[in-house]
Amino acid sequence: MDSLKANIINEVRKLFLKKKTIVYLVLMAIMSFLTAFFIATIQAKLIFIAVNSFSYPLMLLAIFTNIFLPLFVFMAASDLFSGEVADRTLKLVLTMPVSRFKIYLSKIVAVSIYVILNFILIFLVSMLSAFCLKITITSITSVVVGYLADIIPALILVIFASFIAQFFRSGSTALISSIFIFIGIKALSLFNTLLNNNIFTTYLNWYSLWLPNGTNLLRGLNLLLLLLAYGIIFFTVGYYLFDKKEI
Amino acid sequence: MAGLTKIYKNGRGVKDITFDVCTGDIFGFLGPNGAGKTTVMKGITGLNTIQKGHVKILGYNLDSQFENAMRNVGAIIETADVYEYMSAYENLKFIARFYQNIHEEDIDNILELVNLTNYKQEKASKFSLGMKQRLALARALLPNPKLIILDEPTNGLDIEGTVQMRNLIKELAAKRKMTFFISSHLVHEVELMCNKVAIIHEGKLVNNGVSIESIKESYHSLEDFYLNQVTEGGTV
Repeated sequence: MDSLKANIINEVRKLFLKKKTIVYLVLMAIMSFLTAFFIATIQAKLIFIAVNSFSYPLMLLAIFTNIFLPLFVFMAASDLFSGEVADRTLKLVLTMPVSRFKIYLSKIVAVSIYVILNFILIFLVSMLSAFCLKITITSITSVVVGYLADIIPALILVIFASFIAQFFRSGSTALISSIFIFIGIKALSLFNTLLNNNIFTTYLNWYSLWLPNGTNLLRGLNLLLLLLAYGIIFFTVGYYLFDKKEI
Repeated sequence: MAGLTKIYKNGRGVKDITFDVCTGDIFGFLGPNGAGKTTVMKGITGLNTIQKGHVKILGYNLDSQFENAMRNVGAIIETADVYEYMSAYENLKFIARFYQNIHEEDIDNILELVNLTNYKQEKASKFSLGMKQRLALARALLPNPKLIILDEPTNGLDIEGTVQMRNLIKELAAKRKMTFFISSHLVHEVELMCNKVAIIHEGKLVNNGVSIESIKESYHSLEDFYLNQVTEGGTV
Protein backbone atom coordinates (compact mmCIF):
# COMPACT_ATOMS: atom_id res chain seq x y z
CA MET A 1 0.00 0.00 0.00
CA ASP A 2 2.92 2.33 0.78
CA SER A 3 4.42 1.78 -2.66
CA LEU A 4 1.03 2.51 -4.26
CA LYS A 5 0.73 5.77 -2.32
CA ALA A 6 4.33 6.69 -3.19
CA ASN A 7 3.72 6.10 -6.86
CA ILE A 8 0.43 8.01 -6.91
CA ILE A 9 2.31 11.03 -5.49
CA ASN A 10 5.07 10.50 -8.07
CA GLU A 11 2.66 10.27 -10.99
CA VAL A 12 0.74 13.35 -9.87
CA ARG A 13 4.04 15.24 -9.47
CA LYS A 14 5.09 14.14 -12.96
CA LEU A 15 1.85 15.42 -14.43
CA PHE A 16 2.03 18.78 -12.68
CA LEU A 17 5.74 19.33 -13.32
CA LYS A 18 4.87 19.59 -17.00
CA LYS A 19 4.03 23.17 -17.88
CA LYS A 20 1.26 22.23 -20.29
CA THR A 21 -0.80 20.67 -17.47
CA ILE A 22 -0.94 23.98 -15.61
CA VAL A 23 -1.42 25.96 -18.84
CA TYR A 24 -4.51 23.88 -19.73
CA LEU A 25 -5.98 24.44 -16.26
CA VAL A 26 -5.48 28.20 -16.59
CA LEU A 27 -6.96 28.18 -20.10
CA MET A 28 -10.01 26.31 -18.82
CA ALA A 29 -10.49 28.91 -16.08
CA ILE A 30 -10.19 31.78 -18.59
CA MET A 31 -12.55 30.07 -21.01
CA SER A 32 -15.11 29.46 -18.25
CA PHE A 33 -15.02 33.12 -17.24
CA LEU A 34 -15.28 34.36 -20.85
CA THR A 35 -18.32 32.14 -21.42
CA ALA A 36 -19.96 33.67 -18.34
CA PHE A 37 -19.06 37.14 -19.55
CA PHE A 38 -20.58 36.38 -22.96
CA ILE A 39 -23.81 35.08 -21.40
CA ALA A 40 -24.07 38.09 -19.07
CA THR A 41 -23.66 40.47 -22.04
CA ILE A 42 -26.33 38.68 -24.05
CA GLN A 43 -28.71 38.64 -21.10
CA ALA A 44 -28.26 42.39 -20.55
CA LYS A 45 -28.70 43.38 -24.18
CA LEU A 46 -31.11 40.82 -25.56
CA ILE A 47 -33.49 39.98 -22.77
CA PHE A 48 -35.76 37.94 -25.02
CA ILE A 49 -33.07 35.34 -25.65
CA ALA A 50 -33.84 32.57 -23.22
CA VAL A 51 -30.62 31.84 -21.46
CA ASN A 52 -31.88 29.91 -18.50
CA SER A 53 -30.16 31.59 -15.60
CA PHE A 54 -29.41 28.56 -13.46
CA SER A 55 -28.23 26.47 -16.39
CA TYR A 56 -25.05 28.47 -17.02
CA PRO A 57 -22.71 26.31 -14.85
CA LEU A 58 -24.37 23.19 -16.29
CA MET A 59 -24.08 24.51 -19.83
CA LEU A 60 -20.39 25.04 -19.17
CA LEU A 61 -20.22 21.49 -17.79
CA ALA A 62 -21.75 20.14 -21.01
CA ILE A 63 -19.19 21.99 -23.14
CA PHE A 64 -16.37 20.82 -20.89
CA THR A 65 -17.34 17.14 -20.70
CA ASN A 66 -17.99 16.79 -24.43
CA ILE A 67 -15.12 18.77 -25.88
CA PHE A 68 -12.33 19.70 -23.47
CA LEU A 69 -12.45 16.80 -21.04
CA PRO A 70 -11.72 14.10 -23.66
CA LEU A 71 -8.86 16.21 -24.96
CA PHE A 72 -7.30 16.70 -21.50
CA VAL A 73 -7.79 13.06 -20.55
CA PHE A 74 -6.21 11.78 -23.77
CA MET A 75 -3.28 14.17 -23.38
CA ALA A 76 -2.58 13.20 -19.78
CA ALA A 77 -2.99 9.46 -20.38
CA SER A 78 -0.83 9.42 -23.51
CA ASP A 79 1.85 11.39 -21.65
CA LEU A 80 1.96 9.05 -18.65
CA PHE A 81 1.83 5.82 -20.64
CA SER A 82 2.99 5.96 -24.28
CA GLY A 83 4.99 9.18 -23.74
CA GLU A 84 7.12 7.44 -21.13
CA VAL A 85 7.74 4.48 -23.42
CA ALA A 86 8.93 6.91 -26.10
CA ASP A 87 11.30 8.88 -23.87
CA ARG A 88 12.50 5.67 -22.17
CA THR A 89 11.49 6.80 -18.69
CA LEU A 90 8.87 4.11 -18.08
CA LYS A 91 11.68 1.73 -17.11
CA LEU A 92 12.64 4.12 -14.29
CA VAL A 93 9.46 3.28 -12.43
CA LEU A 94 9.27 -0.34 -13.62
CA THR A 95 12.57 -1.07 -11.84
CA MET A 96 11.30 0.38 -8.56
CA PRO A 97 9.95 -1.83 -5.76
CA VAL A 98 6.38 -1.45 -6.94
CA SER A 99 4.32 -3.96 -8.92
CA ARG A 100 3.06 -3.27 -12.43
CA PHE A 101 -0.51 -3.42 -11.19
CA LYS A 102 0.17 -0.61 -8.71
CA ILE A 103 1.98 1.41 -11.39
CA TYR A 104 -0.95 1.04 -13.79
CA LEU A 105 -3.46 1.89 -11.06
CA SER A 106 -1.46 4.89 -9.81
CA LYS A 107 -1.18 6.37 -13.31
CA ILE A 108 -4.95 6.10 -13.72
CA VAL A 109 -5.47 7.65 -10.28
CA ALA A 110 -3.11 10.52 -11.20
CA VAL A 111 -5.05 11.32 -14.40
CA SER A 112 -8.30 11.00 -12.42
CA ILE A 113 -7.04 13.52 -9.85
CA TYR A 114 -6.23 15.90 -12.72
CA VAL A 115 -9.75 15.43 -14.12
CA ILE A 116 -11.38 16.02 -10.73
CA LEU A 117 -9.28 19.17 -10.30
CA ASN A 118 -10.61 20.35 -13.65
CA PHE A 119 -14.18 19.76 -12.48
CA ILE A 120 -13.56 21.66 -9.24
CA LEU A 121 -11.91 24.52 -11.13
CA ILE A 122 -14.75 24.88 -13.64
CA PHE A 123 -17.34 24.67 -10.88
CA LEU A 124 -15.61 27.37 -8.82
CA VAL A 125 -14.98 29.67 -11.80
CA SER A 126 -18.54 29.29 -13.08
CA MET A 127 -20.00 30.01 -9.64
CA LEU A 128 -17.66 32.94 -9.04
CA SER A 129 -18.26 34.45 -12.47
CA ALA A 130 -22.01 34.00 -12.03
CA PHE A 131 -21.70 35.87 -8.74
CA CYS A 132 -19.47 38.64 -10.16
CA LEU A 133 -21.51 39.10 -13.34
CA LYS A 134 -24.82 38.82 -11.48
CA ILE A 135 -26.07 35.75 -13.33
CA THR A 136 -28.64 34.27 -10.97
CA ILE A 137 -28.38 30.58 -10.18
CA THR A 138 -31.67 29.24 -8.92
CA SER A 139 -30.64 25.76 -7.87
CA ILE A 140 -27.13 25.35 -6.56
CA THR A 141 -27.96 21.79 -5.46
CA SER A 142 -28.72 20.78 -9.05
CA VAL A 143 -25.42 22.25 -10.18
CA VAL A 144 -23.47 20.44 -7.47
CA VAL A 145 -25.24 17.14 -8.25
CA GLY A 146 -24.61 17.68 -11.96
CA TYR A 147 -20.87 18.20 -11.45
CA LEU A 148 -20.58 15.26 -9.04
CA ALA A 149 -22.54 12.94 -11.34
CA ASP A 150 -20.43 13.80 -14.37
CA ILE A 151 -17.23 12.79 -12.61
CA ILE A 152 -18.23 9.11 -12.94
CA PRO A 153 -18.27 8.91 -16.77
CA ALA A 154 -15.17 11.13 -16.79
CA LEU A 155 -13.31 8.50 -14.77
CA ILE A 156 -14.47 5.78 -17.19
CA LEU A 157 -13.04 7.94 -19.98
CA VAL A 158 -9.71 8.01 -18.08
CA ILE A 159 -9.69 4.20 -17.94
CA PHE A 160 -10.58 4.08 -21.65
CA ALA A 161 -7.78 6.51 -22.55
CA SER A 162 -5.28 4.47 -20.51
CA PHE A 163 -6.39 1.33 -22.36
CA ILE A 164 -5.96 2.98 -25.78
CA ALA A 165 -2.51 4.30 -24.79
CA GLN A 166 -1.26 0.71 -24.34
CA PHE A 167 -1.30 0.16 -28.09
CA PHE A 168 1.20 2.92 -28.86
CA ARG A 169 4.86 3.58 -28.13
CA SER A 170 4.73 7.31 -28.80
CA GLY A 171 2.76 9.93 -26.88
CA SER A 172 1.73 11.95 -29.91
CA THR A 173 0.54 8.90 -31.88
CA ALA A 174 -1.46 7.75 -28.86
CA LEU A 175 -3.01 11.21 -28.48
CA ILE A 176 -3.98 11.58 -32.13
CA SER A 177 -5.31 8.01 -32.31
CA SER A 178 -7.34 8.45 -29.12
CA ILE A 179 -8.93 11.62 -30.49
CA PHE A 180 -9.78 9.94 -33.81
CA ILE A 181 -11.17 6.85 -32.07
CA PHE A 182 -13.31 9.10 -29.85
CA ILE A 183 -14.58 11.14 -32.79
CA GLY A 184 -15.18 7.91 -34.72
CA ILE A 185 -17.28 6.44 -31.91
CA LYS A 186 -19.24 9.70 -31.61
CA ALA A 187 -19.85 9.83 -35.38
CA LEU A 188 -20.92 6.19 -35.56
CA SER A 189 -23.34 6.66 -32.68
CA LEU A 190 -25.07 9.40 -34.67
CA PHE A 191 -26.11 6.83 -37.27
CA ASN A 192 -26.63 3.81 -35.07
CA THR A 193 -29.18 4.13 -32.26
CA LEU A 194 -28.22 0.84 -30.66
CA LEU A 195 -24.60 1.94 -30.43
CA ASN A 196 -25.64 5.39 -29.27
CA ASN A 197 -27.69 3.93 -26.40
CA ASN A 198 -25.02 1.55 -25.25
CA ILE A 199 -21.69 3.32 -25.70
CA PHE A 200 -20.20 5.13 -22.71
CA THR A 201 -19.25 8.24 -24.74
CA THR A 202 -22.96 9.15 -25.03
CA TYR A 203 -23.18 9.62 -21.27
CA LEU A 204 -20.26 11.95 -20.63
CA ASN A 205 -22.75 14.63 -19.51
CA TRP A 206 -25.45 12.42 -18.06
CA TYR A 207 -26.19 14.94 -15.30
CA SER A 208 -29.62 15.63 -16.79
CA LEU A 209 -30.70 12.17 -15.57
CA TRP A 210 -29.97 13.18 -12.01
CA LEU A 211 -31.79 16.50 -12.06
CA PRO A 212 -35.13 16.77 -10.22
CA ASN A 213 -37.19 17.20 -13.40
CA GLY A 214 -35.85 14.28 -15.33
CA THR A 215 -34.82 11.80 -12.66
CA ASN A 216 -35.41 8.20 -13.51
CA LEU A 217 -33.62 6.21 -10.85
CA LEU A 218 -33.91 2.87 -12.58
CA ARG A 219 -32.50 4.26 -15.83
CA GLY A 220 -29.79 6.02 -13.84
CA LEU A 221 -28.84 2.78 -12.08
CA ASN A 222 -28.88 0.93 -15.39
CA LEU A 223 -26.51 3.47 -16.92
CA LEU A 224 -24.28 3.42 -13.87
CA LEU A 225 -23.90 -0.35 -14.22
CA LEU A 226 -23.24 0.03 -17.94
CA LEU A 227 -20.50 2.57 -17.24
CA LEU A 228 -18.99 0.37 -14.53
CA ALA A 229 -18.97 -2.58 -16.93
CA TYR A 230 -17.05 -0.49 -19.47
CA GLY A 231 -14.68 0.57 -16.72
CA ILE A 232 -13.99 -3.00 -15.61
CA ILE A 233 -13.45 -4.25 -19.17
CA PHE A 234 -11.12 -1.39 -20.19
CA PHE A 235 -9.20 -1.59 -16.92
CA THR A 236 -8.70 -5.36 -17.12
CA VAL A 237 -7.61 -5.43 -20.77
CA GLY A 238 -5.50 -2.28 -20.34
CA TYR A 239 -3.71 -3.74 -17.34
CA TYR A 240 -3.14 -7.04 -19.17
CA LEU A 241 -1.46 -5.15 -22.03
CA PHE A 242 0.58 -3.02 -19.62
CA ASP A 243 1.70 -6.08 -17.66
CA LYS A 244 2.92 -7.78 -20.84
CA LYS A 245 4.61 -4.65 -22.17
CA GLU A 246 8.29 -5.15 -22.95
CA ILE A 247 10.54 -2.15 -22.56
CA MET B 1 19.44 -16.93 -12.23
CA ALA B 2 18.65 -20.37 -13.65
CA GLY B 3 17.81 -21.33 -17.22
CA LEU B 4 16.80 -17.81 -18.30
CA THR B 5 15.51 -18.01 -21.84
CA LYS B 6 14.07 -15.24 -23.95
CA ILE B 7 13.76 -15.60 -27.72
CA TYR B 8 12.41 -12.70 -29.78
CA LYS B 9 10.20 -13.06 -32.84
CA ASN B 10 13.23 -12.63 -35.11
CA GLY B 11 14.83 -15.70 -33.55
CA ARG B 12 17.44 -13.76 -31.61
CA GLY B 13 17.63 -13.67 -27.85
CA VAL B 14 19.25 -15.61 -25.03
CA LYS B 15 19.00 -19.26 -24.12
CA ASP B 16 19.47 -21.14 -20.87
CA ILE B 17 21.45 -18.49 -19.00
CA THR B 18 22.46 -19.72 -15.55
CA PHE B 19 24.83 -18.09 -13.07
CA ASP B 20 25.05 -16.76 -9.52
CA VAL B 21 26.34 -13.42 -8.39
CA CYS B 22 27.69 -13.62 -4.84
CA THR B 23 27.59 -10.90 -2.19
CA GLY B 24 30.48 -8.45 -2.53
CA ASP B 25 31.24 -9.35 -6.16
CA ILE B 26 31.84 -6.85 -8.90
CA PHE B 27 30.56 -9.25 -11.49
CA GLY B 28 31.31 -8.42 -15.11
CA PHE B 29 28.98 -9.65 -17.84
CA LEU B 30 31.08 -9.50 -20.96
CA GLY B 31 30.00 -9.95 -24.55
CA PRO B 32 30.02 -8.26 -27.95
CA ASN B 33 27.22 -5.95 -29.09
CA GLY B 34 24.08 -7.95 -29.81
CA ALA B 35 25.18 -10.95 -27.73
CA GLY B 36 22.14 -10.64 -25.44
CA LYS B 37 23.54 -8.73 -22.44
CA THR B 38 20.73 -6.18 -22.28
CA THR B 39 18.11 -8.91 -22.78
CA VAL B 40 19.48 -10.65 -19.68
CA MET B 41 19.64 -7.35 -17.78
CA LYS B 42 16.02 -6.63 -18.67
CA GLY B 43 15.04 -10.17 -17.70
CA ILE B 44 16.52 -9.85 -14.22
CA THR B 45 14.85 -6.49 -13.56
CA GLY B 46 11.42 -7.47 -14.84
CA LEU B 47 11.47 -5.20 -17.90
CA ASN B 48 11.16 -8.22 -20.17
CA THR B 49 9.02 -11.25 -19.71
CA ILE B 50 11.18 -14.34 -19.74
CA GLN B 51 9.92 -17.49 -21.42
CA LYS B 52 11.79 -19.99 -19.31
CA GLY B 53 13.83 -20.06 -16.15
CA HIS B 54 13.68 -18.02 -12.99
CA VAL B 55 15.50 -15.19 -11.28
CA LYS B 56 16.09 -14.91 -7.54
CA ILE B 57 17.39 -11.71 -5.99
CA LEU B 58 18.52 -11.92 -2.36
CA GLY B 59 16.30 -14.97 -1.90
CA TYR B 60 13.17 -13.44 -3.42
CA ASN B 61 11.66 -14.80 -6.60
CA LEU B 62 11.45 -11.94 -9.11
CA ASP B 63 8.22 -13.22 -10.63
CA SER B 64 6.14 -13.78 -7.52
CA GLN B 65 7.84 -11.43 -5.01
CA PHE B 66 8.75 -8.54 -7.29
CA GLU B 67 8.50 -5.73 -4.74
CA ASN B 68 10.63 -7.53 -2.13
CA ALA B 69 13.14 -8.60 -4.78
CA MET B 70 13.60 -5.06 -6.13
CA ARG B 71 13.64 -3.32 -2.74
CA ASN B 72 17.40 -3.85 -2.47
CA VAL B 73 18.26 -3.33 -6.11
CA GLY B 74 19.43 -0.23 -7.95
CA ALA B 75 19.54 -0.46 -11.73
CA ILE B 76 20.54 1.44 -14.85
CA ILE B 77 19.36 -0.49 -17.88
CA GLU B 78 20.31 0.18 -21.52
CA THR B 79 20.77 3.96 -21.22
CA ALA B 80 21.24 6.27 -18.25
CA ASP B 81 17.85 7.95 -18.52
CA VAL B 82 16.43 10.43 -16.03
CA TYR B 83 13.30 12.57 -15.98
CA GLU B 84 14.55 15.52 -18.01
CA TYR B 85 11.77 17.88 -16.89
CA MET B 86 12.65 17.30 -13.23
CA SER B 87 15.51 18.80 -11.24
CA ALA B 88 18.26 16.56 -9.88
CA TYR B 89 16.56 16.81 -6.47
CA GLU B 90 13.10 15.89 -7.85
CA ASN B 91 14.63 12.91 -9.68
CA LEU B 92 16.00 11.61 -6.39
CA LYS B 93 12.90 12.50 -4.39
CA PHE B 94 10.99 10.26 -6.82
CA ILE B 95 13.05 7.29 -5.54
CA ALA B 96 12.96 8.42 -1.90
CA ARG B 97 9.15 8.18 -1.78
CA PHE B 98 9.40 4.39 -2.14
CA TYR B 99 11.60 4.04 0.94
CA GLN B 100 10.74 5.17 4.45
CA ASN B 101 14.36 5.39 5.59
CA ILE B 102 15.58 7.91 3.00
CA HIS B 103 15.80 11.44 4.39
CA GLU B 104 16.67 14.82 2.90
CA GLU B 105 20.28 14.55 4.05
CA ASP B 106 20.63 11.23 2.21
CA ILE B 107 19.67 13.02 -1.00
CA ASP B 108 22.26 15.72 -0.29
CA ASN B 109 24.91 13.09 0.49
CA ILE B 110 24.31 11.17 -2.70
CA LEU B 111 24.40 14.38 -4.76
CA GLU B 112 27.74 15.17 -3.15
CA LEU B 113 29.02 11.67 -3.91
CA VAL B 114 28.33 12.11 -7.63
CA ASN B 115 29.47 15.75 -7.66
CA LEU B 116 26.08 17.25 -8.45
CA THR B 117 25.48 19.30 -5.30
CA ASN B 118 25.74 22.58 -7.19
CA TYR B 119 23.12 21.43 -9.68
CA LYS B 120 20.56 20.18 -7.15
CA GLN B 121 17.73 22.43 -8.32
CA GLU B 122 18.72 22.51 -12.00
CA LYS B 123 16.59 20.64 -14.53
CA ALA B 124 18.18 17.47 -15.89
CA SER B 125 17.42 18.61 -19.45
CA LYS B 126 20.29 21.10 -19.06
CA PHE B 127 22.76 18.42 -17.96
CA SER B 128 25.58 17.04 -20.09
CA LEU B 129 25.65 13.29 -20.86
CA GLY B 130 28.20 12.70 -18.09
CA MET B 131 26.07 14.58 -15.56
CA LYS B 132 22.97 12.61 -16.56
CA GLN B 133 24.98 9.42 -16.18
CA ARG B 134 26.03 10.49 -12.67
CA LEU B 135 22.46 11.46 -11.78
CA ALA B 136 21.25 8.06 -13.01
CA LEU B 137 23.90 6.43 -10.82
CA ALA B 138 22.77 8.57 -7.87
CA ARG B 139 19.22 7.31 -8.45
CA ALA B 140 20.47 3.74 -8.36
CA LEU B 141 22.57 4.32 -5.23
CA LEU B 142 20.14 6.41 -3.17
CA PRO B 143 18.30 3.54 -1.43
CA ASN B 144 21.69 2.10 -0.44
CA PRO B 145 20.86 -1.16 -2.27
CA LYS B 146 22.68 -4.43 -1.77
CA LEU B 147 22.80 -5.13 -5.50
CA ILE B 148 23.46 -2.64 -8.29
CA ILE B 149 22.80 -3.64 -11.87
CA LEU B 150 24.55 -1.46 -14.45
CA ASP B 151 24.18 -1.96 -18.18
CA GLU B 152 27.23 -0.55 -20.01
CA PRO B 153 27.81 2.13 -17.32
CA THR B 154 30.67 3.84 -19.15
CA ASN B 155 28.93 4.08 -22.51
CA GLY B 156 29.28 7.57 -23.97
CA LEU B 157 31.58 8.79 -21.22
CA ASP B 158 34.91 10.47 -21.95
CA ILE B 159 38.17 9.13 -20.48
CA GLU B 160 37.90 11.20 -17.33
CA GLY B 161 34.27 10.22 -16.81
CA THR B 162 35.08 6.56 -17.38
CA VAL B 163 37.85 6.62 -14.77
CA GLN B 164 35.61 8.45 -12.29
CA MET B 165 32.81 5.92 -12.79
CA ARG B 166 35.21 2.98 -12.41
CA ASN B 167 36.74 4.38 -9.23
CA LEU B 168 33.33 5.13 -7.76
CA ILE B 169 32.14 1.57 -8.36
CA LYS B 170 35.28 0.11 -6.78
CA GLU B 171 35.01 2.47 -3.83
CA LEU B 172 31.34 1.62 -3.22
CA ALA B 173 32.01 -2.10 -3.42
CA ALA B 174 34.88 -1.77 -0.93
CA LYS B 175 33.39 0.73 1.53
CA ARG B 176 29.66 0.00 1.39
CA LYS B 177 29.95 -3.72 0.59
CA MET B 178 27.67 -3.31 -2.42
CA THR B 179 27.42 -6.06 -5.00
CA PHE B 180 27.67 -4.99 -8.65
CA PHE B 181 26.47 -6.76 -11.75
CA ILE B 182 27.90 -4.88 -14.71
CA SER B 183 27.49 -5.61 -18.39
CA SER B 184 30.05 -4.38 -20.88
CA HIS B 185 31.46 -5.09 -24.30
CA LEU B 186 34.82 -3.60 -23.28
CA VAL B 187 37.26 -6.30 -22.16
CA HIS B 188 39.70 -3.79 -20.72
CA GLU B 189 36.96 -2.10 -18.69
CA VAL B 190 35.80 -5.37 -17.15
CA GLU B 191 39.38 -6.40 -16.40
CA LEU B 192 40.05 -3.16 -14.52
CA MET B 193 36.74 -2.98 -12.69
CA CYS B 194 35.50 -6.50 -11.89
CA ASN B 195 36.64 -9.45 -9.82
CA LYS B 196 34.54 -12.05 -11.66
CA VAL B 197 33.39 -12.37 -15.23
CA ALA B 198 30.84 -14.35 -17.22
CA ILE B 199 30.99 -14.31 -21.01
CA ILE B 200 27.96 -14.33 -23.26
CA HIS B 201 28.25 -14.96 -26.97
CA GLU B 202 25.43 -15.22 -29.53
CA GLY B 203 22.82 -15.54 -26.80
CA LYS B 204 24.55 -18.36 -24.95
CA LEU B 205 26.67 -18.31 -21.85
CA VAL B 206 30.25 -19.37 -22.55
CA ASN B 207 31.14 -19.58 -18.86
CA ASN B 208 29.13 -18.76 -15.77
CA GLY B 209 31.46 -16.71 -13.63
CA VAL B 210 35.22 -17.07 -13.36
CA SER B 211 37.49 -15.09 -11.06
CA ILE B 212 39.59 -12.56 -12.98
CA GLU B 213 42.55 -13.41 -10.75
CA SER B 214 42.44 -17.05 -11.77
CA ILE B 215 42.11 -16.04 -15.43
CA LYS B 216 45.26 -13.94 -15.16
CA GLU B 217 47.12 -16.91 -13.70
CA SER B 218 46.38 -19.05 -16.74
CA TYR B 219 46.17 -16.45 -19.49
CA HIS B 220 48.10 -13.34 -20.38
CA SER B 221 45.01 -11.16 -20.09
CA LEU B 222 41.20 -11.26 -20.00
CA GLU B 223 41.30 -10.53 -23.72
CA ASP B 224 43.22 -13.75 -24.38
CA PHE B 225 40.80 -15.67 -22.19
CA TYR B 226 37.83 -14.13 -24.01
CA LEU B 227 39.22 -14.97 -27.43
CA ASN B 228 40.03 -18.46 -26.28
CA GLN B 229 36.48 -18.95 -25.07
CA VAL B 230 34.59 -17.56 -28.05
CA THR B 231 36.79 -18.47 -31.00
CA GLU B 232 38.35 -21.66 -32.12
CA GLY B 233 42.06 -21.64 -31.40
CA GLY B 234 41.89 -18.29 -29.66
CA THR B 235 42.15 -16.13 -32.76
CA VAL B 236 39.63 -13.88 -34.49
